[in-house]
Amino acid sequence: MIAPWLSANPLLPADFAQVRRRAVFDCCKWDPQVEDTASLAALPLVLRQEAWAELVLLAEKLARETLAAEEELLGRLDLHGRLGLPRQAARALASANRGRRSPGVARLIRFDFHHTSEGWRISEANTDVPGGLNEASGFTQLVAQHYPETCTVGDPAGTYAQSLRDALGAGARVALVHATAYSDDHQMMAYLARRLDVAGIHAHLVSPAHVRWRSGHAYLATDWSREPMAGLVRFFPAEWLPNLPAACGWTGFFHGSQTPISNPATAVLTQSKRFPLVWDMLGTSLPMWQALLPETCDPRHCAWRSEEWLVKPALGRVGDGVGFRDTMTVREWERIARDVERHPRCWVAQRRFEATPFTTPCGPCYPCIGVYTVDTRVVGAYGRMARRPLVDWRAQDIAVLVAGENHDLDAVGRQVGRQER
Amino acid sequence: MTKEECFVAWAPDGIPWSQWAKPVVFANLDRIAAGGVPDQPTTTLSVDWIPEASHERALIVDVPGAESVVLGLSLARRGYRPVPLYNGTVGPAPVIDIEPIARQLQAGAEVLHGLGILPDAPPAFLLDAARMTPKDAPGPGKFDNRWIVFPQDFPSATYLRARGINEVLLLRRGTDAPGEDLAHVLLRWQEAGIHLLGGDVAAGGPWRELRVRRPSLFRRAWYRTMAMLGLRRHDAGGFGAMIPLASAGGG
Repeated sequence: MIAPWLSANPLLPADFAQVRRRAVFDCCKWDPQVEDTASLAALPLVLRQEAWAELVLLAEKLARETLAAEEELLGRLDLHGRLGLPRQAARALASANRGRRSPGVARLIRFDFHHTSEGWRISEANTDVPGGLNEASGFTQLVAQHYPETCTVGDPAGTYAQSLRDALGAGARVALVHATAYSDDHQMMAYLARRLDVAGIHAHLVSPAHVRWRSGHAYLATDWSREPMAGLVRFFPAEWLPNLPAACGWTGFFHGSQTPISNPATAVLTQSKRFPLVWDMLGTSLPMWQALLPETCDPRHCAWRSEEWLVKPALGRVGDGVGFRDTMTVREWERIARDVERHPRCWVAQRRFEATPFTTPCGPCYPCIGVYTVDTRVVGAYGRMARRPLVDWRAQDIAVLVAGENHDLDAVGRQVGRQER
Repeated sequence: MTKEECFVAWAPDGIPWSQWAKPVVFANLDRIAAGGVPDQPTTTLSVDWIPEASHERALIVDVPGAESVVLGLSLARRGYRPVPLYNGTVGPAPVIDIEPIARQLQAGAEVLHGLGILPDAPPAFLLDAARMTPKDAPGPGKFDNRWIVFPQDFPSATYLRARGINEVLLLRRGTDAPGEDLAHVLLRWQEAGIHLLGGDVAAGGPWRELRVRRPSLFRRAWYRTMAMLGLRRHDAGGFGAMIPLASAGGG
């Protein structure tokens, strides 16, 4: 099988230092180092044009299926118990089902693709609060400037901002709701605020506890503003919301809001890694999901301790808690295994796939291409690359580029070269 | 000096420890410091009791507020490379006032230029010990910018040892024991055989051997998420706890 990417030379150290600094100051990349790993990769992942075209096709089909399934699932209260959701979130979903669900706007989803020996597969979809926009837009554009034979695969932050502007109107006030104390989350919101500002939207960076509703309309309850909001952008996971004090009205993210939200917390229905366990009970047809997601089971129904499987928490994020036996210590694995045995309803087992390695000067790496859709249209990609076949906090961000129109690189067999300066 | 030049002064290119410097305060310097004068002169602290720089030793300075920056500058004069790890976010009506630190970093950038710190100088990691303890009780409408450190914010024990570092000194004020978040870092280093000593800046020493106790959720995959969710509390309470809301919502 032909690899879907071309090899590329890394940036020269001086150029990379400049890109890193520009990423920090222009793109709010405030976590450029994670333990001993530089979180930004010094080379891009350059996709063949046909590979990117295929990803676009697949992601848009996935997005349509996801939204249709979510719509049906919201009304299927009988299935909610199978999704491993917190009890209070399940109650809020039940209320949303009674016809008062909070409206959505500019629905953002990210599908995480991996190339395997059998073609493209997805490991998961981030349908609730997909991250990585500042790296996918800002950092990628900085790297692309050094590879003139390539182009970016989109500007997800810019397109998302434009979609919000189109839906809410120029001059609208929007709250960017996130864990303000968490600089990893704050950096993406700060970057999006800049892009919204350019698009003509006034963004307010607030925590979910700062948002209240009056007659269904969201407004801020902060020391610096009590203004009504025309829209809410949520970057605070739905399953975390029940940890907030009831007085702050977090259920408005699920139901009862008239202010549109991107994304409404009802997205947690398809965010759950246990979503595939209810497919057979849905009327919605999900052929693309079924083709691309590896076999997924309740841990009670498969030999999940074998090396053919990995286990994931139903609501894990950024690879947190994934049990991948041969990439972790015995102690780490046993700790996870004990939890799976005690709480199997909160876990899922997924059949492993053999990811295609990407050759780098530091050895083989395993890329993950997170393809964003806004309202089912592909708007860009967030690349990550790990030294082992598990994309977690140790993974590096890598710019995803596509070989340019006029460069038949495969035919001439040369590498994509950086622009020497 | 621009905010970018200021960052480069504290984290110059080509210096290995620069990679760990946290940029968030520098990236927002124009919003928080805006050329203000620091409250404290940049080099007033006596650090004679702290050993001179050695390639086998790293420091962690975990004292409150801008004093940590001043101490870092004093240590730079003793041959250490101060590495700012301030990771507090910036917003209106913040719970933690980062401005004094930002001003000190801005003023200190000029000072650092003239010190000629050696490229292979050992690191002195700088933290604000007040990162979780605001002066005033945080109100519900405030911008919560309290922060904690995670093991991922520091080099691993493997990296430190590869650079020849086998001893770490922790400097605090009023105590020489680490806080719970830092214990997650130090215990990893201790388990890897790195010798840990603690000293109280208020007392000017003496150095005491640290035996870091196992903090809750040590090495758990969920620690980072749980800590940020505010579900864990240390013995003094409030580790990551949510800011309490007023009794009635709405309004």
